[in-house]
Order: sequence, then structure tokens, then C-alpha cells
Amino acid sequence: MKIVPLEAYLILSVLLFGLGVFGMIVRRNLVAILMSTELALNAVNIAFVGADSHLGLLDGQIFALFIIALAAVEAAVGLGIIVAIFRLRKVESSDELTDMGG
Amino acid sequence: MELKDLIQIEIPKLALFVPELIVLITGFVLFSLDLIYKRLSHTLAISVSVIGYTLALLYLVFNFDLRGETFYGLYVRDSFSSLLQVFMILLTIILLAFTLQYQRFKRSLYGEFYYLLSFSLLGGMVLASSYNLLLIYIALEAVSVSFYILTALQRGDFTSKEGAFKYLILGGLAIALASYGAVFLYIYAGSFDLRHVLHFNAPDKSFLILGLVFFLFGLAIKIGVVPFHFWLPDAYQGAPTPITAYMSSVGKIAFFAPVLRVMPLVQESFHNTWVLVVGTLAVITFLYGNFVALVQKDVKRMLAYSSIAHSGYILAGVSVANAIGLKAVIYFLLAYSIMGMLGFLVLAVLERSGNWENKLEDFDGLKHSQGFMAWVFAIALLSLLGIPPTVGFLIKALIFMSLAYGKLWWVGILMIVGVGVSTGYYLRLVVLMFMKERERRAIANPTGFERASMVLMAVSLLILGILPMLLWNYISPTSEMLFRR
Repeated sequence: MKIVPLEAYLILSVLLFGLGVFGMIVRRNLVAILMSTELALNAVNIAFVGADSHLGLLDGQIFALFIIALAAVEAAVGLGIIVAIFRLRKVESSDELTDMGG
Repeated sequence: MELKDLIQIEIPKLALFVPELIVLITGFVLFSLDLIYKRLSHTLAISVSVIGYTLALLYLVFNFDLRGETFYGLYVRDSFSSLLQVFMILLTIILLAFTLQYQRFKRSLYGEFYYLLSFSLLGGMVLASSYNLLLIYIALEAVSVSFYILTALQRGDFTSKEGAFKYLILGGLAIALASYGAVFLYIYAGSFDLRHVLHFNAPDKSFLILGLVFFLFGLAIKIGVVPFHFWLPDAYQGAPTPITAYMSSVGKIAFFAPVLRVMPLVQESFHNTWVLVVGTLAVITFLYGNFVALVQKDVKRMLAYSSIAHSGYILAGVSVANAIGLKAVIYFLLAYSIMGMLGFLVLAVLERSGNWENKLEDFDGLKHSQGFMAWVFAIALLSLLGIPPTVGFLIKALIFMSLAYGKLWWVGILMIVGVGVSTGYYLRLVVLMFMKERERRAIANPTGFERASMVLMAVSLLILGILPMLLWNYISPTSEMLFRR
């Protein structure tokens, strides 16, 4: 029995994904940018779980579990790099990451 | 009753997976060594890595005809994966000759370096040999996360952290996009196997198109295709130079591998769109890379843009989308990995000289101060440019011929323009090194291992250019095999 249709899951996940990408572009705080990438990855999880309830399979949920684990890895590495940046210079905005003119 | 019947599942054929297992075990050994010893002996770590990688390489070379699938179709060993893996392992072994001196000079000796190197190598090897979206996703993360950390491993250097952060954010976006593509492909066919997904025939193809666009878009960011290349110059410039060499060779092979596996499978339904979209991206990529490289003052950054331009040439070959184009692309990819790596490794040695900043002026009259390095660098640059006896000429000619065969004249002509522009910056460096007079300076002397590796790479650039059949005999059946899938 399906109570929630696939479209509802997808709309929610697209909104969340868009929010994540939007945050990556707009936010200036380094930690906030990192949080935005996590948001985008969680949008993918919602889409996978929705796809599973639509197809009646389990593979998508396994994929979602892997995404959760690897998103945590990425967050840990990202926070480590932010700490390293902050130790070298008291920088917390992406506007100040311009040493190489990029 | 046998055990096999009792548990009702197929027992994975581990023989196909041995090289990866060896690299994985090497990684774990290096990890434990780093944990056990408070002060890790770097010679020990390098020896363990080289022994492990050599064993994996020997197994691969002696069992080159090994074919088959294991782990329930997750993992495919065919000539494509073996060929790419041989090159990845070889280049990693060569890289290890250069890291210790460089890190000692930069006072950035980290034990993490060695096991991250083997985990990223493992990720690259898996990427080269899977059709499964889940495995591709995990391998992509393994390569990328190792690269983020390796980029940041330069003590007290702000640009290294800055490059790593930009790489992390854009890389994270790329992964999110690729896995979003995986969702749509999964909804379309209910499977993660790309062969199954792309041969699946449903009346409504909208999810398939969406999925492919997102998936390839994510991979395009990883490769550094031009509208999405922002991270690449910064990450390449900020990273420790041996790591830059590693990312531009092994990383490039690894990230291109899934694209080359997908390419033959989509031609049935989307040939015309593929040619148009990939051709356009290729043209933008190599023109942009070459023109921007022209105005760079920093040689490392210049080589980073040259790496973007070469991705563009590879994409030009991919846009032909037939077996002939694929042969040219594989040859290009493998040959570029050698010359791109050699270029950056020369910089890695030169950076050990006092007052060396990788500026163009630093190269004035290098021939007089350090003739050996000047000659090796000149061979690498001439090969990147594409002067006849080197392999650079051959691979560009191959790509051009396949473009002509596929009647993509507009890409071919613009590619010649791109190569013409690139003459400007490659030859300028050669002229600076050989024609300009300048008093002798103290330039770092390469160690014996470094000398031998650089000679080996320079000679192989010449040999692959003069005797292409050595490699071609392996590439040709490989690309036809990929098209039969």
C-alpha cells in the first residue's frame, strides 16, 4: 500500500537539493557552505528512499546508508580543513580564500 | 552436500580481485605502521608501499588475460580495467621516488600520506572496473576524500588548505550530483548496473535522460570540464607538487574511466545529442584551458590549465563516440598521464632549490645551472605541445584522425587552433630554459632514484611516440570489447 506517491518524495528532495546548492553559492561562512553540501546529499537520501517505496525494492536504502556514512566522512575531513585554515589565519569567510586569485 | 549448495549463494571469485586486495592490505599495513610507531620511518613506509604495489603489478601483468565478473556482477575484470590499473600502479610506484625529498624539504613529513595514497589508488582501480552505480559512488568518494586530505598535507601553507577546501566543496557538489543521477537511473530501471539500466527499454525515457545528465554532470566536475573547472587550478596549485602530479595522472585516469565505460552504452539512443553536447564541452574546455594558460606567470598553475586543456582533447575524442575514437582516447589518456606527471614531478624537484617560486623568471637559463632537469622538462613540454618524435604528436594526430573519421570537422579545426595557442606557453618555457643567459644558480640536484624515474618516463614518451604498436595492440581489442557490451 502506497500512501505517499513518488512525486511527493521527489519534489521534497529536489527542493532540499536546490536549497543545498543555493546555500553553497550564497553563504560565505565556511562551515555553512559545508552544511549546504550535506543538505544536498541528504536530499539524495530522501529520493532513494522514495524510489524504494515506489519500486518495492531495497537496494536504494542500502545506497542511502552508504551516502550517510560517506557524508559523515566528508564532513569530518571538511571540518578538519576548516580548522587548519582557521589555525593558520583567523579566516571564516570564503571571501578571504583568494591567495591564488581563484 | 557441499558448502556452496548449503548457503545458496555464489562464492565470489577472489582471483579476479587479487590486485585490489593487495593494495588494500598494503594500505592497512601502512595504517597500522603509522599507528604503532610514534616516529614512523619513512623509508620503511615507502619500502612497504613499493613492495605491495609491485606485487599487485606483477600479479596483474602475469594474469593479464584474466577475465570475468565477481561479487554478483558488482565487479568486472576485463582488458580495460587491467590496462588502466597497470598504468595507475606503475605511476604510483614512480611517484614514491619523489615524495620523501620534497616533503623533507617542505617539513611536511606525514605518515598519513602513504596509506591515503594506497586508498586513493584502490579507489581508482575499482573505478576502472565497475559498472555498478553503488560501487562507482563509493570508489569516487574513496579517491576524492583521499585527494582532499593529500591536498591539504603541506605544513603551514595557506594555499594548500585553500585549494583543499575549494576542492572539497566542488567535489562534494559533484558527488551529490552524481548520486542524484544514480537515483533517477534507479527509478528508471530498478537496478544499479549501468549495463542493465542503459539497455533497459521503457517507453518513457525522461528519468533515464535526467539520470544520465546528472551523473555525467557530476563526473564532469571531477574531471574539470570547463564551465565546472573552478576548483582545479587552485587545488593543483595549492597541493604539494608530487600530489598535483598524482592527481593529474592517476586521478585523471580514474575519473575518466566510468565516462569511457558509459560512452559506448548510450550511443544506441542518444548518439546525436552526445556528439553535440560533448563536442561543445570539449571545444570550450581546450580553448579556455589553452588561452588562460597563456597568461599565467606561475608555471605550476600554467601546467594545471594545460591539464584542463588536455581533458578537453580527451573529451574531443570521446565526442566521436565510436570504437575508433575510443581507441584514440584510451591511448591519449595513458600517454597524457605519463607526460602530465613528468611535468609536475620536474617542478617537484626544482622546488627544492633555494628561492624557487615556480615563476617564469626562475626558469631563465636553467640549461646552464642544471642541464639534466632542463632536458627532461623540455621533453615533457614538447610532448605536451605535440612535437613529432614524442608521443604528444601521435596522440593528438590520433584524436584528429578519429574526429575526421567521425566527420566532426568543427571540433578538429578548433582543436588545431587550440594546439596552436598552446605553442605560445610551452615554447616560451623551452626558450627561457635554453636561450636565455643567466649566471649559474644553485639548483637542487635530483637523487639517483629521481634521476632514473625521470629518464624512464622521458624515454617512454619517446618510445610510445615512435613505436605506438607496443600499446596499441592492447588498446585496440579493449575498445572494441567495450562497444560489444
